[in-house]
Amino acid sequence: MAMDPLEHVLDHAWVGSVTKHQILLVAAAVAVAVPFILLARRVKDGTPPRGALWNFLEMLLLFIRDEVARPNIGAGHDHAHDDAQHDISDTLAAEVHGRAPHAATRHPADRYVPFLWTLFLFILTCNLFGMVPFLGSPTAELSVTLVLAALVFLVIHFGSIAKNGFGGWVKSFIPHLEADNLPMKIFLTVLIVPLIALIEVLGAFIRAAVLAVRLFANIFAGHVALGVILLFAVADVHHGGFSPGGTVAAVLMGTALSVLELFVAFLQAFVFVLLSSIFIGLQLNPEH
Amino acid sequence: MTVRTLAAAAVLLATPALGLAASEGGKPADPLTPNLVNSVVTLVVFLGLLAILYRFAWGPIMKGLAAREQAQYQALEEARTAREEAAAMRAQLQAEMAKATDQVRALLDEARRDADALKASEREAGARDAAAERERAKREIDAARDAALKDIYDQAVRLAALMSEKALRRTVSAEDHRRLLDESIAELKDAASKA
Repeated sequence: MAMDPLEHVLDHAWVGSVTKHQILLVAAAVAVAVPFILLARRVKDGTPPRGALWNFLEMLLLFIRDEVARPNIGAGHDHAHDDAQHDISDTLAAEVHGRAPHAATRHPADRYVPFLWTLFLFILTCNLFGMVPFLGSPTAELSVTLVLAALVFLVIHFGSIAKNGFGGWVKSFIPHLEADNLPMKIFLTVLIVPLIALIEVLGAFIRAAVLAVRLFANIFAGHVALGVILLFAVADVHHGGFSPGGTVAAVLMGTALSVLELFVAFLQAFVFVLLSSIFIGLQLNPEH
Repeated sequence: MTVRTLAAAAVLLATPALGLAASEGGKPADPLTPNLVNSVVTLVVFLGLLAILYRFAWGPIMKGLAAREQAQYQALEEARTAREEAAAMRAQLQAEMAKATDQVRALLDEARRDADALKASEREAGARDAAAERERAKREIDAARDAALKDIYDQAVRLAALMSEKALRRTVSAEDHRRLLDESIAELKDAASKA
């Protein structure tokens, strides 16, 4: 066994020139596609799913739709009232309080929900692959997370152009500042507005970069830390000795850290999708 | 189910072994060095996954969820309508019950009044009949008494005449006869009134 903790974190060739991460990316896509296609066959006619597995899968989808996408993307002024009326729990509350329930209508965030579902499940599966011994997380590679962040960037801005038009999208980067007198107005228009606009443009790229770096850094660092701790268990053997206490401590700490990594796998997938939803909502509703 | 579980466990256990076997070759890459091939693979795989899921999973699932929500909204709406109809029917029933109660009370009052009036009229008729019967009995009694007195009077006259003839052995004059009769009648009347 190699003594380098990066050995199983970094990508390398597996089958010929095909690398581990490339194979795992395809495996993650298959692992996501199969159960959800099967779920779709069960619930496509409106019948609720039966069984713990199918309910769990649907729960993931409903959580992303109702708790992440709709509250953050539909937060604009034109949908502020609608946001409180679109889930069934509100309808039940309306029943309790004697109000007439609103009919189920398509939420403005729903057009982004399929993308966010795919993003969440794909990242989650990639993260969870890192918990399988001798596999790894493709999301622990910056080249992978950068592509995912770039896709979010494109969705954010093409969605904004589709909703507000090209002019509205450009205006979303230009602040509207009021001034009491002419010199101040000139000062703001000539100096401050371009600077803020530049910061806004840079901020759009920074947001996407932050998404990529956050996911990559968390997964990469978690697996490196886990690898380092687990290597403590065999370090003495490689140097001609053996420390039972050190081995037990390394295994216990490795187990605890694995549980933490399991949590981090879900957390980082959730954070990626949550931030994506917030960024989409901010860009679609620039006045906020 | 058991076969599926065993197959899943086998895949789960074999995966690390395959990974370990595959790890024997290849040189690790730098994590921060851009890997264009991996980026392209990520892009292709993700977009392919999105397209497949959109066609075969997300579309049907979103339609199913919408249909289910619509059914739930409809069920709630129907429940609300049924509740309102039940409340209206309950109110109508209560109103009809109250109306029926009033009608029953009015009928009872009317029946009570009719019974009282009937009782009073029956009592008056009874009293009237009793008074008439009493008058009729009184008249019959008086008639019977007068007839009896007349019989007694006639018998007394005959007896007196007979007695007088026998006792005096003489013919009593008409004037004597009348006087004797009057005296006898007066005695009889006196005796009758005493009796």
